[in-house]
Amino acid sequence: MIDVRQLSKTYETPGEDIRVLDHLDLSLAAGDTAAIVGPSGCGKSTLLNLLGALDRPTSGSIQIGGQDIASFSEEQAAAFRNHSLGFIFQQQHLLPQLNVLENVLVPRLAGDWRESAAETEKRALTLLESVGLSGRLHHFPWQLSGGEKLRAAVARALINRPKLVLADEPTGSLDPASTDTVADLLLALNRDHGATLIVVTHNLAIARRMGKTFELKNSKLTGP
Amino acid sequence: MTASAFILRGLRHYRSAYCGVLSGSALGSMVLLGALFAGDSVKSTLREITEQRTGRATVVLAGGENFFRARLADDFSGTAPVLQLRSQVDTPSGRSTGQVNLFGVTPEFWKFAPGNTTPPALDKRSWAINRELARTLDLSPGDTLVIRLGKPGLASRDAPLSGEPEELITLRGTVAGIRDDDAMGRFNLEATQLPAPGIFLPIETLAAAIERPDSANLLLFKESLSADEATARIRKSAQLADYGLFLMDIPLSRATEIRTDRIFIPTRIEEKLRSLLPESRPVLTYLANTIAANGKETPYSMVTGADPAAVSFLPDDLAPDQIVLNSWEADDLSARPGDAVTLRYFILGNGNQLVEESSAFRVHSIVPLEGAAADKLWMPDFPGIAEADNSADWTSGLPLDLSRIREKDETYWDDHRGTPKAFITHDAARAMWSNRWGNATSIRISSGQIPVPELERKILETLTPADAGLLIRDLAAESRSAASSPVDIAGLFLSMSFFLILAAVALTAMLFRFNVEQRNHESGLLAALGITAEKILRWRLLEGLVVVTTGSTLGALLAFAYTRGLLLFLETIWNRGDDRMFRFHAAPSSIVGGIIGFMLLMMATIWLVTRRQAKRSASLRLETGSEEVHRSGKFRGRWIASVAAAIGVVALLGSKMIGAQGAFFLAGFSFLIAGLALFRVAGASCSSPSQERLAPPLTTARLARLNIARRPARSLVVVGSLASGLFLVISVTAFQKHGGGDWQDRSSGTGGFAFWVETTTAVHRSSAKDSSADMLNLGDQREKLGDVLPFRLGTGDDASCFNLNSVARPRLLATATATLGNRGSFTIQSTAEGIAPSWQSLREGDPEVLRAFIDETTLMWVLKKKPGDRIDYTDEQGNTFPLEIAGTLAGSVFQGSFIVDEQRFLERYPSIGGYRLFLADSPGDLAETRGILQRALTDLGATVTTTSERLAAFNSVENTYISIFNVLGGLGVILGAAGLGIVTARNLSERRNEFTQLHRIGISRGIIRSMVVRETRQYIHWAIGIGLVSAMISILPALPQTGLLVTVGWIAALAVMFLLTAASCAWLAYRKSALFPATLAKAG
Repeated sequence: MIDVRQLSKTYETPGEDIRVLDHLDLSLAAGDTAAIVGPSGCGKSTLLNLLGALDRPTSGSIQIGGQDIASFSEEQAAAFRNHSLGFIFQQQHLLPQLNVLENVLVPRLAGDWRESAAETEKRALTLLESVGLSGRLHHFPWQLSGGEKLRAAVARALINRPKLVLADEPTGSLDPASTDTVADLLLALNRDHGATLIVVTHNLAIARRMGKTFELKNSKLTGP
Repeated sequence: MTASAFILRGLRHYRSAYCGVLSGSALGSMVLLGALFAGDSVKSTLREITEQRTGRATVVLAGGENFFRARLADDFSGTAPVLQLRSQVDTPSGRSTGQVNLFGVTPEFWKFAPGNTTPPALDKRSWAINRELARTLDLSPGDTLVIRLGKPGLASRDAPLSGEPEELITLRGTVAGIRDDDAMGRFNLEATQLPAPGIFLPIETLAAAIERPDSANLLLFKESLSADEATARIRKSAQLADYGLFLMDIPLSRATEIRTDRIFIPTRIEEKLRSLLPESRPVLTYLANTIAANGKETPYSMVTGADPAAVSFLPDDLAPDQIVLNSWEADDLSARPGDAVTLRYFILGNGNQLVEESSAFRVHSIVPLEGAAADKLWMPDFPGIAEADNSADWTSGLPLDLSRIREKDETYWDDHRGTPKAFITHDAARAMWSNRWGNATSIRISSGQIPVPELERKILETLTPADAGLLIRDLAAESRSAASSPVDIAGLFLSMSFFLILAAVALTAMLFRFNVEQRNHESGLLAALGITAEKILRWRLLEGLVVVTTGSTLGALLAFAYTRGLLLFLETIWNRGDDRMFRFHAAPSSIVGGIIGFMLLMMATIWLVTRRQAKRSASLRLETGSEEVHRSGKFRGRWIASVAAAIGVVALLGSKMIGAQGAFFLAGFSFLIAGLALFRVAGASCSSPSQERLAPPLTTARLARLNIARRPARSLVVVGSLASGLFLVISVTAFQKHGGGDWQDRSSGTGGFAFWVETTTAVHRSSAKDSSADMLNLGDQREKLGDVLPFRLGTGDDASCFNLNSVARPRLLATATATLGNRGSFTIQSTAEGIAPSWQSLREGDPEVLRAFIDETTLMWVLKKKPGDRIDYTDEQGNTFPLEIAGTLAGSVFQGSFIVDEQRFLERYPSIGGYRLFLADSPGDLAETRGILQRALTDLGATVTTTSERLAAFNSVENTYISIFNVLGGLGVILGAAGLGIVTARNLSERRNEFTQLHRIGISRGIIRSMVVRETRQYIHWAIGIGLVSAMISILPALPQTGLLVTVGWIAALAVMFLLTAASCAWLAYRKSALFPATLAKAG
């Protein structure tokens, strides 16, 4: 499913270049769950952005589902994210002008959605029910708790039936009880939807619950 | 959930943030559309006024001081004769005004009204007046008014033997009605938007009053005719009287004479008739003050010059230096053939003064006083002489000493009237007495050579109206041309609003960008969810389009009120009280074009400032949020600053070539750009890491600098807006004119003259013999004045800045330019190539070309020409001649007119008689002298103004425009200051966490406040520095023309005002922010 080879990423800044990732490799099969851990600033989010085609590597290749996403044009990358990826961010980034249901439906706006609006909405309702938000459909983000926001973000990440879900510190702003709940939710979704799950986290408890754990240190990926 | 629903949600959610964008769009749109509407309104008003001014008249036959038969109009349908004169009008209550147009009209005249109107019932004592006269003298129907006008002479009153100076006629009547502007109340052939006071009375009444029954000097045509067609029709119907000619049978000489009621036959007519009738001979009879011989003299005798071949009693061999006396005269002088005879006579000298000259002759022979030699018809009907019963009763207009007339002279007058006492050749007579009106008093042709009807027919076939000074004017074409203002008001206001629009657009775009930056996380998320960057940008732009469209539409609505305000302010130039001069008009093309144009401008700017956001990667947006990200490319600030400064320097150096105004704008703008580029460079160098040296110590000042550099784009917009506004206000203020106070300085715009006196009735010459010239006949009061310089008012329209109409041919003012030269009056600013900067140059050069000086303001703004250019004028006979713009005068009282030399002028306009304008010097108290002048010149319908007032009035026009400029610039400053406030508030809001953290780690509120204050202060300092320096450099070319102290004072005051405004806005933002002590304490 995921085959990363010799991936490097260097940021050019005035005065000096900063190499964040240095020739790292990563392989995951479809349906795998993996955690990427490492100290702050080690490049975890950078790796996640590269895997999500949000950024371009300086060198190396990223094969996902047999496609080299590093060679995608902007349009191809956008289409790939829209059809095949689900993102969950620490800050959730729910759009404040939209209610919960609409936030989940946002990916439809990309334009070449492959199913009807009614079908997508029906699935959104199912997803929101499955994350326990069926009673908050028409609430706006500012009316939700941190856990509820995250669950809404999870539902949004799954609306496109993604092959790969990328979660960047999903529990970073939650209390321990909520963290466990979210971990349960993510693993249940992986189980129910069959999507590959990669979680970038500092939380070792979450990491341990994933099938594989990688450590990013000194620009290199190690393990499992 | 559709894209449009998503956009609408965004608009609704971020409505408070979009309020600023909406307001900025509304302001920019209002100002831009206001400028266009102001242009539309002025154009529309001028068009409307022009229609009212000329009515349905398409062509006019204009005679000026030359009259034709009113009944000439009977031969054409759709025409109206008008007798137009000027008068003074008084009311029983003591109010009075001069320069009133008197229109003698027929009922046909009212059919020329642009709309349907009912002709007023006019009679000998009931007259209609127009609104302007009613306003000026506060007249209502039924009120009494008194007209006083100078009776026009048969011949020009300038001419010798034309009779006494103008006799004043008084008419008393009542106001029958007040004619509205669109009911011919505004009728006026002068191209001006200002209404002239006017009275309408029956043409018969006015013609009878001036003792010229059946006369008119205007013939209006309604039909669309070319000038040639009109000329052809008039020639077909014209009679000799229309050319001022008549035939007289001279039985004693068995001859017919062609004579004119203007005394002297115009040269052009004489030439044409001599060419038509080769056998005809000119005759010139003149008054000799003295015929002297043998120690004896005869006073005041007629002498005739004629061709000896055409006069039976004259010897064929009469030489030009020989004279034939009649027997009475020979007896009186005891003269014999061969005796020397001296003739003394008056001729016209400078300033229209009569100068006595003399010529010597030798007696050829003596003819008996009988037959043709005793014919009284040799003498034309000299006004004041021909009808006199006694010699002692002559009112010839000449300064005669009638006490010289002896008993025998009276007897001769009784018996022989004006029978000449001596005869000379016509050549000799012409050499002595020809003048600008002609060389002959009649043209004689022997009876029998041609029957009288045939002679009349031939003459009429030969002459054209122009020969008699009757000019055809294509009024329709003139009106079309005049209806356009020489100043493009829309363009003017647009240029005046340039910086304000720029500031509005920049600040609006900055606010929009704030909004986009604020939603960076949203954009990043959308990108992460697979929505392309282009689509996200499109959505943002669509949101912007909705806001900008709403704002622009709102601005268009506000522009209706804004334009009315602008027009009201503009009207203060003419000081017409409650009368509204301009009518508001907004052309659909301006509304649509203006809104679309502004929206395009806004959207292009918004696109420019947001497209870079779209290029940023989703991950970057997600990470940075609203923090501004520096461009990775190298900013070429130093290069931009150098190029812009170089352009500015070149513009200043070339200010003479491209004109001070253009140089000012270009140089100022260039220095502004250079300053802003330097500001950007300073920021970039401050924030870039240095490898070579240690970072400077971290002080609050450095922190403030770093924070400014942290968001270079918004810093640039704020400093740019503030600096632009400041630049505009200061630099334009420096162009305000403060002239007029130094009127005694002869090189100033007053020429060293204290008064500008305009009279309704022309003054022809001093009654005194000498030319210390009590031209204004002030008598004992003459000593109150120094030099008095008279001017003749020629053809053309007022082209001063008070006249909004387009004037192709400014009014000609003719004077003795030598006097101006001798006095050293006025400053000749520039001259055409090869022309010396002296008044003498107006009397030199090609005699076919009339040279003129003109005020530089008129040349630049109204005529849009340069020295050396030529303008075609039409002389009195309808011939076109070139007027060469020889040079310009600096800021003078002559704004709107060409100054030409009197002699050169009279060669082309011999009939224009008398002086109606005087510049007078005064050694005494101006207020007292003005009062004396005003009272003494009441009969002339004089208006006395000081030259300082006149200059101040001209300056006030420019200053009004500058004031508008300043108001708009001031708005720019306020906008810049508001921008500073917004940016301060925004920065503080975005850095709330930063400040809280600083507070938590023990940095005192005082230090944090000091850092914020320093940041704001740096914005203001940069803005003041850039704005001030660029403005000061750019006004260098204009400084010599403006009061330096006044200018510096203004600049200092403006800078302080600016500083206070900007600081207040920032303080307000600071108070609202989380940093305000109370708020911060709460946060802590």
